Order: sequence, then C-alpha cells, then structure tokens
Amino acid sequence: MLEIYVGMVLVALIGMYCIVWKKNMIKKVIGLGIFTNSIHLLLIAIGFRAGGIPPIVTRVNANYLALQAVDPLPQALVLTSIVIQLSVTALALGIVTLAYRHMKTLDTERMNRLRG
Amino acid sequence: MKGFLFIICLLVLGGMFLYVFLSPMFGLWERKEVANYYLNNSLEMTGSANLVSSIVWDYRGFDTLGEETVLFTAAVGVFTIVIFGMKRRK
Amino acid sequence: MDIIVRTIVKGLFPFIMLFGVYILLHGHLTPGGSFPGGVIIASGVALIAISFGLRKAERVIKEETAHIIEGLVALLLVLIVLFESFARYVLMPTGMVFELWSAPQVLFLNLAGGVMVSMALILIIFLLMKE
Repeated sequence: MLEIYVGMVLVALIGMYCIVWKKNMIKKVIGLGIFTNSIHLLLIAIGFRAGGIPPIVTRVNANYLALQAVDPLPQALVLTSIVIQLSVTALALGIVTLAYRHMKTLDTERMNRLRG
Repeated sequence: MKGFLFIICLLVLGGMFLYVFLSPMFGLWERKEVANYYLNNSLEMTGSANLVSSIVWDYRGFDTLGEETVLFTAAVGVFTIVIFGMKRRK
Repeated sequence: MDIIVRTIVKGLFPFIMLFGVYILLHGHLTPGGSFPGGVIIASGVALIAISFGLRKAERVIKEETAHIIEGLVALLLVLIVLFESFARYVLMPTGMVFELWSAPQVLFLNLAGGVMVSMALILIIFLLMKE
C-alpha cells in the first residue's frame, strides 16, 4: 500500500527530470507522458482496498460487492485523463514536426535563434 | 554544478510529495460516501453491470462530453498544423 | 515494409477489428467501453498504414470520410446534451440485466464515443504520416 505511493513519487521525479534535463524534443514529450502516468497511478491507488475485486456486477457477486469491491470513481476519472494525455501528446508531436521542418534540428541547445 | 543543484531540488520536491501522501488521510473507506452509494445503488438506477461505464456515461456524462471536445479539438489542431506546414513550404 | 510483416498483418487485421468491435459492444457488461475499443480499432488501421503504406490504408477508410463521420458524431453528442430530458425519457433501462440489450444509454453512448475516438485517432495517424 505504501509502496504504491513511493513508486508514484519515483516515477514523477523521473518524468520531471526527463522534461527538464534532456535536450532532444521527442524525449521531452516522452517525459511528459511519464509524468502524467504517475498521476494516474496516484489516482487509482487512492481507491485501494486490501483483497479487492473489480467493480463489475456478475451473477455470483451481486450481494457482497459493496464490501469487497475497489472504488469505481477514480477509475472513471483516469479514463478521461488518459484520453486527454493522448490529445496533448498528439498536438505536441505535431508541433515538434513543425519545428523540425523549420529549424532542421531537434536539439534545443541549437535552436535558439529566430530564423525565417 | 547545475545538475547537482537540480537533483537536490528534485529530492526536496519528492520529500514534500511523500510527506503528504504517506500521512494517514488517503483511502479511508469509512469516509467514502459517494463510492458506497455508487456500489450499492447504481445497478438498479442505470441497469448496466459495468459500474465504471455507468459512472462515465450516466452520472458524470458532462465530463465525458468535455473530453470528447478535447479529442475533437486535438484532431482539428493536428489538421491545422499539417496544412500550415504544407502551405509555408510552397 | 518486409514481407513477413505484411503477411502477418494481412492475416491478423480482421481479428483485430473483430476484437475491437467486441470490446466496444460489450461495454456495459465487461470492462472496456468506448475508449479501449476505439483505440483497438484505430490501431488495426494504423498497422495497415505502417506496413503497407498510406495508399493501401486509404482503401480501408478515406480521410474525408473520417472527417465527415467525426463531425456528425460530435454534432450528435451535442444534440443529446441539449435535448437531455427527451433523451433520458427515450433511453430508460430496459430488458434483463446481464443481457446485451440491457442499458440503452450506456450502449448507444459507448457506440458513439467509440466511433468518435477511432475516427479521431485514424485522422491523427494519417495526418502525422503525411507530414
């Protein structure tokens, strides 16, 4: 239970390091994805229950679902957030493609002058 | 020198995160009224066996509408970027 | 691409689409729903686009068709929200609980959302491959 939170903090720190320190533009976009996934991990770990079953009603577990199922609400929020992460990554990659056609390089230390 | 300072700042931030998340306030099942309401009553109110789908499309449908708007905007945005890139190369 | 990749993709493509439609349609009974189903359908078309090229992928679905379908489904979702009381009267829960025709609101909205997600992803992949 505590290990999930420690793992989440480690993944968030790795994501932040990738966004700030790496010079390649595509590695920065990957770091953004890693950081967003760590937040999803935190959200799902809030609804944790020891020895829990998924919140799907079947024929056998209709009467003990409220005592043993995990929390269904953060899973719905994370579903929305995954699609938003997908949209942000698609737009970021579009901008990286445009920047590559203009500056002819993907290195952020070398694209520091205005051209065109 | 810059890298060392950056690692120190990251570790301080990680420590602040851990101090908040390891305090015994997260995930207490006695305080979860909304989750218990969804687990008990959502089968006969919506008729769907998948509770997460019933939350996404029935109880919180407006959030899903906003997210479909974001997805549509992303597709239109990528289209605009590609058309702009093609037009400036002419 | 290579001939091994082309042969495997040509053999696997109907099963991938069938699996995606299965996850879409059973969104109110098993885990899944609109978002994983739409992503699996779009990834099937993306496999064709990567291994066979963009012209063969245009024979599966054209780009203008994807634009038109996505716009129409977005309009349908906005209309469902605007005429919300009428839609809630039409989409009351009917039928037996664990059957396929049980929760019309979740079923129809899953179909609409899945079509929208798959068309948007197919558009993004086609446009990023053209550039």
